[in-house]
Amino acid sequence: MTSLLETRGKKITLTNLKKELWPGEGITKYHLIKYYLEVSAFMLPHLENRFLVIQRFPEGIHRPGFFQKNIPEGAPSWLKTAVFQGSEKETRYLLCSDPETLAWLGNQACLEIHPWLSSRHTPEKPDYAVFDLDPPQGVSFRKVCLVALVLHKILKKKGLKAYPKTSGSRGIQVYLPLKPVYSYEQVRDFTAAVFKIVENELPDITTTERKVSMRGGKIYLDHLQNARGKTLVAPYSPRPLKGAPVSAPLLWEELTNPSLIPSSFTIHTILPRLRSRGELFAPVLHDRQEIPKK
Amino acid sequence: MRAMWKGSLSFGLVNIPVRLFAATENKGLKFRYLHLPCHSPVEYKRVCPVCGKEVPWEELARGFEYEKGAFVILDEQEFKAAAGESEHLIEIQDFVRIEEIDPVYFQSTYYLSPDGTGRKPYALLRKAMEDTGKVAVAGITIRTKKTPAVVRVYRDILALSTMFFPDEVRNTRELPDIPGEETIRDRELEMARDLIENLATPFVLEKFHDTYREKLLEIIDAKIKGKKIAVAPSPEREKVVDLLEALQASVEKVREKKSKETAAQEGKPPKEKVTTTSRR
Repeated sequence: MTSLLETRGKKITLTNLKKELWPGEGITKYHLIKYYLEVSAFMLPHLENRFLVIQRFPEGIHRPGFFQKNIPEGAPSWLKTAVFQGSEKETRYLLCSDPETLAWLGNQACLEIHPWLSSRHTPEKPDYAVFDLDPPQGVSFRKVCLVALVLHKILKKKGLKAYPKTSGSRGIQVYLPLKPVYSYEQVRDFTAAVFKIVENELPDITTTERKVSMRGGKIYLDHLQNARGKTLVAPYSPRPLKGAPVSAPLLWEELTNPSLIPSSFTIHTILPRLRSRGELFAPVLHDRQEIPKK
Repeated sequence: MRAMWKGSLSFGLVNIPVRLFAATENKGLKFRYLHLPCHSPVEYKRVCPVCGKEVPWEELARGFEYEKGAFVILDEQEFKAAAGESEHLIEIQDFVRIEEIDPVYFQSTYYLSPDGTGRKPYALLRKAMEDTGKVAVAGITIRTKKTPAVVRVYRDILALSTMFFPDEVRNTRELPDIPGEETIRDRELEMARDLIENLATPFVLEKFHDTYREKLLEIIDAKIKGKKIAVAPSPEREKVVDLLEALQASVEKVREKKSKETAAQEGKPPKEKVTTTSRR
């Protein structure tokens, strides 16, 4: 069964709303679209003017999903797109600046939205440095929090203010908003230098070793995410995991709370949290800082 | 009426193009199972009890249980091969007297109507069968199975009744407690015969009614009038309305947020901060 959703001349054909995208959990495409619409006012500023890579799961989270960069055939004509001219080929990316596009993404069973780190207007100059703390299996979330807090202390000492969020899974991602004047390489070098200090402080639980076999079950500090075309999951984006968790912005003091559970932030719980705590990631869009000169 | 089968009736050297229509229909009332708290019709799902998952169509197979828990799986090709060519043919083999066939063999009845050029040979066969008082025994393939059938004149048309195969009719000898030749007293037999003679009338089926259905319809009617009706909400429709409201609310919210930001920017001297939302 299909139905039509229409506002401001934008038509969205909704299909199969009862399809369980989280099978066995009663979470359907309808719930996903509703979530996208309700969170849109908070999420859209983080997507606007960025090339998007989306991950779709038309058969639900237990079946393999796929990344999609190009716009599919038959997509509505009102969708906004922009071309990035790479060195070898050009890619037409989807842009998302309105709730309608989010609703359409929901109907496409898009369960992850990944924006570029740089705006499409300055594609070579990232708007933030990202510190991706991705623990291997078996490392407790407490340890990830500890690493994040040490990172916070180091950045603070440099007079910088960064913002943490859950990855939606077991990791934490720390964003340092920057003026869009640095190249990806400069941002990468800076991130690597900071990570080196973290590794020196916590040599037992962190590593900057690139070879997986040499990491010894430690948390990998990955500065290479700071590159053109690389993406992290957007704040408030759902993840295709049990319970429909989302990537949730946090307060630093929350990381000291031993009972913080990242999977407790879901498409059901994040809206009440937004109402009571506010949009904790809003400063990431405004609080643009400079990389300190040594 | 919609034809459920198209083909030809072959009789000697003549082929009569015909269409088959179901002669009977079941008038039993259909009830649907609802979820009592919300009155929604329940859905049926194919679930694998081992994997605990709903089974999509492409993962379904048909298996024959040749012994408890052991299956032979046949694919569509093999089913097709067994069915052979599906010739759309009613092939008349013999003519017999209808009394020779016990009603236990009759399965379902269809009306035959001539198709295209079949009108004349149809009329001819009808007349010949009427005159001789004989009915035709034929084979017909419906879907995958070739079954025996009888073609006869019913009122002014030809009707076809499919029949069970002989081995599908159970043997009466398997029935328990059937009396043999008991000694019956003449007096008793005479009384029983008299009773039958007294009740003998021409056959009229119309005096039988489906009283169960009538009673149910009465109850349903009363409930509709008394407004004690279980009306299912239309989940899909409601959901779309719900989404439309959510969409309108969020369009409004985004617009508000933007105008606030623009106002803030215009009202105050520009600061270090740059908002991406109003940049173009």
